Amino acid sequence: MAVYQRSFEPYAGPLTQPAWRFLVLVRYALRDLFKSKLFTVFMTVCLIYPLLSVFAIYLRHNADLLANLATAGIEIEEWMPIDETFFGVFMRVQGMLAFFLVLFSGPRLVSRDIANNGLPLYLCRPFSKTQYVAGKLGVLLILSSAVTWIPGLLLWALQTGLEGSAWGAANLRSAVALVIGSWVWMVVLGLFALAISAWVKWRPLAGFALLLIFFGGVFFARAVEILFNTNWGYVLDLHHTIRRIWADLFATPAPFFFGRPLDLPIWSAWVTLALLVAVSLYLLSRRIRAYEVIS
Amino acid sequence: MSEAAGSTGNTLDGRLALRQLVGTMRLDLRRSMLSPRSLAVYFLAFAPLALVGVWALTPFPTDEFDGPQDGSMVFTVLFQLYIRVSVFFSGLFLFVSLYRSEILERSLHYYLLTPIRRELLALGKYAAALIAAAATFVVGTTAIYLTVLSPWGTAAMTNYLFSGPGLANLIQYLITVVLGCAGYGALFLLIGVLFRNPVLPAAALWVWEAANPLLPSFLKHLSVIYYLQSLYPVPLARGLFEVVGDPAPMWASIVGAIVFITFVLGVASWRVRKMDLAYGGE
Amino acid sequence: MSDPGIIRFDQVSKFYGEVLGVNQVDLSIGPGITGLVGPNGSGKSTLMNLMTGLLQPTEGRVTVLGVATDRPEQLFRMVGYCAQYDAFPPGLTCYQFIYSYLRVHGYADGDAERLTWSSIDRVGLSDAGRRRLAGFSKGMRQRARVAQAIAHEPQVLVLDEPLNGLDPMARAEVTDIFKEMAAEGRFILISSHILHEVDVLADRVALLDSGYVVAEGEIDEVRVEMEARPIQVLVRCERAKEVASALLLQDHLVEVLINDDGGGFLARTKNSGHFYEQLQDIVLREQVKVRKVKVADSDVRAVYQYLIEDEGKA
Repeated sequence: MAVYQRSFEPYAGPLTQPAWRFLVLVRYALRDLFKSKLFTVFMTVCLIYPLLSVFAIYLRHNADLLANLATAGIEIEEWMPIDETFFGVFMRVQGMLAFFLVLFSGPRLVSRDIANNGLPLYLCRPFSKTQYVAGKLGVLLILSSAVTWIPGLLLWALQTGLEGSAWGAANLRSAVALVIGSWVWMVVLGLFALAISAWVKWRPLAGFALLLIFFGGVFFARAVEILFNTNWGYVLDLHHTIRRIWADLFATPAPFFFGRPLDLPIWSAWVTLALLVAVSLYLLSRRIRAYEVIS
Repeated sequence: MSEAAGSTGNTLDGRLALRQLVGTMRLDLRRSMLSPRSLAVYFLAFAPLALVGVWALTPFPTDEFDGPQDGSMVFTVLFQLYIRVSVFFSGLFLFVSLYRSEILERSLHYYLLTPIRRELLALGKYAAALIAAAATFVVGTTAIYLTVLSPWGTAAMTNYLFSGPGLANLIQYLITVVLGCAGYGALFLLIGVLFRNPVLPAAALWVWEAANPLLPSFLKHLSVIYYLQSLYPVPLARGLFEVVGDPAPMWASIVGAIVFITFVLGVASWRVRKMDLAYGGE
Repeated sequence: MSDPGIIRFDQVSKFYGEVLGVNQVDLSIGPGITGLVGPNGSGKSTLMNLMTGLLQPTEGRVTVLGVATDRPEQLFRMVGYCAQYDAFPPGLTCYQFIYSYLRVHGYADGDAERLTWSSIDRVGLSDAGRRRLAGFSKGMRQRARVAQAIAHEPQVLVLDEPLNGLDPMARAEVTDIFKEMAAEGRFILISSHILHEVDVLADRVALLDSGYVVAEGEIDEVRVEMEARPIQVLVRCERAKEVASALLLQDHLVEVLINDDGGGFLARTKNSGHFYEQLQDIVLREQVKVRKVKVADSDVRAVYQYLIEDEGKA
């Protein structure tokens, strides 16, 4: 009987803990994204509004300026209040920018792996479907966080520092709303973008599909309004839905449309988003698999 | 030796060109009507029908409507949305990817290795996608129109169609929807061959078309929706989604559309002729 | 100047941005089978794509039997190209695939059908003609692509790695087809990164490396140069200096380079058989533990490096 000397030596070094393994995908995806100059420029543009907000808060607390403005008869407290409306507007502006960030970066995340039969390479290793989705979603969450709740909370902290802790306590709701509102938007947007990316191979088409679904809903809602004389069509207008939730979180008036408020019950907005998340997870579970299907 | 093999001269044999055009359309029609993205087109074309179907089956206060002529008014507003969303995005899905989808599938070279002028190839691909889109939207528009008229009963509907303006209006809507497919299709074909990533130009076009009511009068003339609206048989009520302005004469809309489409196809063909085929990482 | 009797590359260069595809290629190809050989990335496919108008040269001019490559309507009456891309339009059967593109050529229904079946028969896919391409094995897909390239009976046939994925039987069959077509006076250009593969097929060969044509001519001339060249063997073992010293007593050894770590050496020998015998004797005699013996230049790139060096020395 032939006896073979065992010369193979398996890798015996340290391994990344399973709980953090998804971050490998995040790291490489972010590095890939920031290779694009256009993306880097857009990311920078996304931080302009927070910088302007910092400037506004600074002006609001500049004693010399306030004195000069008071001399000129301008009461800046009335003209530019730092309150729930200020943070609500911040949320809306940065939320939309987060949408465009996801539009830019989301469609390529899964489609590229599927188009190049790359999924088996990930999933034939000790790396689960959940970890894969977490890794891809992590990319979008990090990018969106960088333009939504993180600068928002910094602004809130700055204002609290300058105005005093009493202001912070009175406006705690804005801070909580910033965090919850951002995370809801980021998770919904991220999962849906990944689901689209998993089903639409060509990146631009995936981008168009995202645009259509987020901004085309208003046309559907309008058709329902014309035919049935009801506002209920707007529950499928995702842009309106998220604005309705933000308005509720920040305790600001319901969003206006065609010059009138659309006061649909808040639960309907939450149900819409919950359904969208469920559909996205289902679509992802169908498509993320460790084998290639030849039809 | 067969006829095609013998045609190697400089002058383009008309019959040969026609056969090549039909051959291209034959191949591309299958792609435009049976590919996964055609499902999106069918959804966009027929989802409004489901909505209108529910409306037609739901009892509504008849005192608000006098009869099928009022249904026709409802249709006009819906038709505007149909053009702006369904036709626009269907054109985008079908025409932007005429070349790009084949580059993604790495199958475009089979076309480019045939003895067909690339101008003719562009025309054939465009015509196939146009036939697919136009057929879908002609059926969709007709079905929605008839469904909107249906609540007043078959007799009233027949009377409105054949003794009133109903049929003439329907034909005019069908011409509009076909021209919409042709106009947006030509623009999206051009965007597809000029830009590697057409998202930004297509989004810009959408914003431009949507912002049409807000534009000064002379800029209104530079949009597809302006000419399409000029073809509506029933004038639109003024509103945020509706184009306001002096409508162009019908003949000008049709001739303008044809000239515009020819020009755009010419530019697209020139671009395709100069195109290097490189299947990079899309 | 364009010659109606040959395929001509006239000072052709192609750059992809700043990346070189091919550079200043001056090449004339006559009837018969010509092999285009080079390692991956050497510019074979670029040259073929330039010849078929899929790419436009940055500089220079390509003509095929007197026709410029930017005239597809004339060029592809004469040229068939089996490209390297293993992809097909979705949803088609083998028959539909070939037939549909013949219709784009402009053939009428009857002619297209006859030519389709003729080419399918020729590559031995008659039984699978009505099956969908998506269900084909790699070898069958390759044959389907060859069938599509020859369906319109082209005078010039360009084949990019046409034997990839074929089993030995299919290789023999497809090779016979190319030989038959060459015997009819057609121009056949075949690319491969395996020199031996082209050796049994081609009358002439052009060797490419890093975008340059480094050698061209009759295959026998190139083969003579190949046989004379020494091969490199990498040995990883204990007491490498002692083993290398013992080997250096042999005539066939051209040079020996000891690794920096002292754990092995690289030997260049003109007689590999003798080298291995001597190495075995030394190892057994001296009780040396050998970890690895590897031929370091079995890939074709080494051949080109050798050719380039040789030309440089000359």
